[in-house]
Amino acid sequence: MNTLVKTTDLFAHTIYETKFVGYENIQTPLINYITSNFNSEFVNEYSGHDHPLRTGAVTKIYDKFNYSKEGKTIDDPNLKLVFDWITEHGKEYWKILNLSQHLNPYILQLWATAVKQGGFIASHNHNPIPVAGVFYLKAEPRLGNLFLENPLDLVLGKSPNHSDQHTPTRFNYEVEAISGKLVLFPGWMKHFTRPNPTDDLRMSMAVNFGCQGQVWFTEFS
Amino acid sequence: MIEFELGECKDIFPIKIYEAEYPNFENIKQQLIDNLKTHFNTLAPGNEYIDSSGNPLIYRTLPNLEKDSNFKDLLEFVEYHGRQYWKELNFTSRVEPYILHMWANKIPPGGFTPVHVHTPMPVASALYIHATNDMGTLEIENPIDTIQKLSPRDNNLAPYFQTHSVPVKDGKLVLFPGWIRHYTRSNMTKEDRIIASFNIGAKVEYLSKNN
Repeated sequence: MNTLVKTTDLFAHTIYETKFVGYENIQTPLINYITSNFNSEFVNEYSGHDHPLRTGAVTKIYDKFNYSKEGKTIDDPNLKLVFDWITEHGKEYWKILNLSQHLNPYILQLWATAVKQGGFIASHNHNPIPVAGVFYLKAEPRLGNLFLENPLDLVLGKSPNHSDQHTPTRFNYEVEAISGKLVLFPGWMKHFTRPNPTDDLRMSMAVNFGCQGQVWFTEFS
Repeated sequence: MIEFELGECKDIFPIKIYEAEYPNFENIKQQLIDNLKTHFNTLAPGNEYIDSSGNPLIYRTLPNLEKDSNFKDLLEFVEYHGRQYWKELNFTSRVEPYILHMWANKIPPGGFTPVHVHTPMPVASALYIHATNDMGTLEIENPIDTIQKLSPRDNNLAPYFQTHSVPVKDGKLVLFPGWIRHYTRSNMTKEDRIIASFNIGAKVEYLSKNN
């Protein structure tokens, strides 16, 4: 039928990806610094609470609250470099999401995870954190990619889908995990990783962005 | 000094809607309006929205106009595009989607269509017979607006109410998922706004994955 037709994609969620140029030059010393603080045991526990990590190790790297309270600074130069770089990208992503420019976003927390064979990160989100992300310290797709979950999967799963159209029964978006890559996404978005099937360790650093400032909760401000 | 280049943005998990225009709609418009007149004599129950004088803010026919042969060409047009949209959504090709229901709404001046969904219909649609933006655009709601509003958004940069506004005009067909909440703005003119609505579905057997 000869007629004007158009489709429009509504309400997409913007994620942000970038790569640290020259990461290979700092990768080994950065990992050495971070692993020097690692818990020697592969336990699924973080500061006394259950963590979505399965068969892996987790360690806190940075917490703004504690650092400010104790007057600490990041002393490792490579970590500082990556920290500042992630901060700048977080600020850009903040603007892209149209989050309030009255607020000053900053890294609230950084922690590292490592998974050995069979290990993975189970589905979770970072609520109430506005922006979350991951920086890959040592990763490649064969060690387990990142999967972001469609928040509408419950309703989409009730649609007349069938494998004849290769329609997924789970509505995920796969992001390749590569060393030196940063992925930022809304903190409410659930995500997980595939298990690491190899003998190689997969290491990543998770990030939570917080913010500070005053907002007037009216559109007429 | 850190080397800083902007990253790449990717928009994921969009919700697809579909728009089409009936060719030379002006040639059939008046006939359609005349054919609908008799159906507005039998209004669907549940038109509970009234103004302060007790007059309805919306007149809705029974949802059985698909049985009226006067609308055959219109039904064929909508069904064709319903099938195209079905493919766009990657729904199963094992069934032939078809129009389950057709009905019409007449919105008098000041009236509007309140927010609603067509669940469990997979696809819903509206064809605008006599409509302008002043008579009320179609407003589609972001299904996760609750969580979006909990983000520290800048209301000067982004709309407070997360809706997508679809401009309307005579002969325009809009198809969208049946589960998505939508409504129209008030009719700000002195004329009646007239639209036809359609539910599109198919006979689907729900089987386990192994089947």
